[in-house]
Amino acid sequence: MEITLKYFGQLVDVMGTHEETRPVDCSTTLALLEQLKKNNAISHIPFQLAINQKLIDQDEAVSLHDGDVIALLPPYAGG
Amino acid sequence: MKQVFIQGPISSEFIGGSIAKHQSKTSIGAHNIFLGQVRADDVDGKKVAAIEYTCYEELANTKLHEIREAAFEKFDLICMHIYHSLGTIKTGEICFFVFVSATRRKEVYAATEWLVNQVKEHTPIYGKEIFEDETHQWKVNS
Repeated sequence: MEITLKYFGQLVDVMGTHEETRPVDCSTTLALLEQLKKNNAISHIPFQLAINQKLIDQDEAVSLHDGDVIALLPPYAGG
Repeated sequence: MKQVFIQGPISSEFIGGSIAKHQSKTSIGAHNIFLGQVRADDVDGKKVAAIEYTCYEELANTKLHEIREAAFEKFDLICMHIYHSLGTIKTGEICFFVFVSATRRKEVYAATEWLVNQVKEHTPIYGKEIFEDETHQWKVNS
């Protein structure tokens, strides 16, 4: 299964890109989060997830599907 | 979907033009405007020269639509407009414009403050504060 990860704010600097498509072997958002947080560079940055432009509850295990677009959104800073 | 995001700063001509467009809506008795301006903050001896705004536009537009709908439910408004800049906005330039109109003044004060807070809190917009020496830090809303 392949998903697209979109990074915003500070995460763009840390990940060195706005967006990447990569194969994953996790079936839920909880498993994905666990995998992402293994990267020390982002483990200290708070963010929420949006799947296909819909914010999800961080504690909820939402199923992932091939082609999903997952956005990692640090705290907003508009205005 | 209303167009909220503007590439570059929001000019005084644009703001003036927005006011002028409401002259034909004669049931309006009160307008209120909030303008956000990029501030030259000092951080550890370095001065902010500009903010580069980015956003998750698809999600931001959905959220802004929800905020707009909620504002009309909550307040007795005739019309409202929200504009936010994307791209590099220098200090002293306008990056955020909220414009609320109603028959009477009481509604517009409350609605403007509510809208500004909602946009800041619920819209995925990011600001990279660029210092005069070209280093940067990510803006955090207080």
